[in-house]
Amino acid sequence: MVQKVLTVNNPLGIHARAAARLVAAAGRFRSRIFLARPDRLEWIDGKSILGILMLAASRGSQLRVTVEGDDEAAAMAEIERLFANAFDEGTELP
Amino acid sequence: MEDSATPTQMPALTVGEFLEKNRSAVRLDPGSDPALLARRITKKRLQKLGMALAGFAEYIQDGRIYVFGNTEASYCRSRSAEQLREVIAKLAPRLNTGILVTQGLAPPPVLAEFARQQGLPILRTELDSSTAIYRFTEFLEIELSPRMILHGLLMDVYGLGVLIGGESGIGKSECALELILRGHRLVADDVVDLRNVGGKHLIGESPPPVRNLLELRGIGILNVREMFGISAVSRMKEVIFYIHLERWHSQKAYDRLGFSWQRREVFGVELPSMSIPVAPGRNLSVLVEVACRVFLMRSSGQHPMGDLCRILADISGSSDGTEEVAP
Repeated sequence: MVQKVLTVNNPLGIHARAAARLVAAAGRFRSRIFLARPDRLEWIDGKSILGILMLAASRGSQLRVTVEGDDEAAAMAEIERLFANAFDEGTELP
Repeated sequence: MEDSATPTQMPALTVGEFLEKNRSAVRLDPGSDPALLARRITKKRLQKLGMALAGFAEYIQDGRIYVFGNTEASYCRSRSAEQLREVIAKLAPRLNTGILVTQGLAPPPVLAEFARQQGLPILRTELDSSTAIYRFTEFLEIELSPRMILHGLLMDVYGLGVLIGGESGIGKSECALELILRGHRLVADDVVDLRNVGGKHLIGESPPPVRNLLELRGIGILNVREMFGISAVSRMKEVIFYIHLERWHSQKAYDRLGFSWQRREVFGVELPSMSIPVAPGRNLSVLVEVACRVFLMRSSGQHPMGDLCRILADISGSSDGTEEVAP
């Protein structure tokens, strides 16, 4: 299991398109991926777009990300890359 | 799914939320400052102020709504303002959530003055004390129960609250859509907000931001209520049956007879459950619907496997395996 706290740094926060990209990325891995707001204990499934939209994560907010499974390192690396790259804003949706 | 399910923090409700959700019965006293609505209710039981007004204040607790009704009003009339002021002052440190004045009474001046000084909201209702206590205790019992978010699907199928679990991508949302088209109702897709009420009942609903929404891969997010109408959705439902969808494993033994229920614990409540394997050619929504019919039949004592055993026992003259199976 790998766990990290990541910061949302794109201007619009995790809006619909960003959520779609995050879910698409999460879905490419076999690992189970969970997200949570640091102020709350509940985990949201990283492969659920409705769950991620419900987090309503705005710019500057932090999310705890937990990845668990045989490809967890690669999955976490990809999620970190998405957070760092502002969810590839400005590129075409996958 | 147990590990994706974590209880949230200690539940609490602000006085403002309490008012909002009971708009038809309760209003804020005009003398109370709306800024006080941020006070938090953390206890489920409402209690009459009763003996606290006579100076016995041991049982006054933080986080609780206190009821001021006819008894309290007539007691107050029998005391001088000075006597009351002295007694009420002693309640100050722990009486910090709110006072509900029942029967449409106006709060006596001493009480109103105390509330103003303490920054305590006064709520008013036309209900009598016993009705108000019964009604709002029941309301708080649900609102203040432990909650958690679960990844899954909650449907109302033939009036049964069925929680459907299974890994992402197994087809829960597609199953939901087909159940909706067959006349059943969506409660929550993907994100289910569950409350454990009294350790016995699980009440599920959708978190408000994603209420009525369904996500279908390849199509996007649908608003089921707008698309299929009010009868395609249900706001809240008690969960009484759990169905787990799982990938078909040729090595795994599935229930072939339907003899007994599996049991599965979901957020502290044990539910009868079924595991349904998913494979090409198995129509999920029909299977879920039939599972619910089976549940309803078993609940009323009808059991095809029991009947078959009895017939076989009659033929062979033995009494093997004929015990009744309760749901």
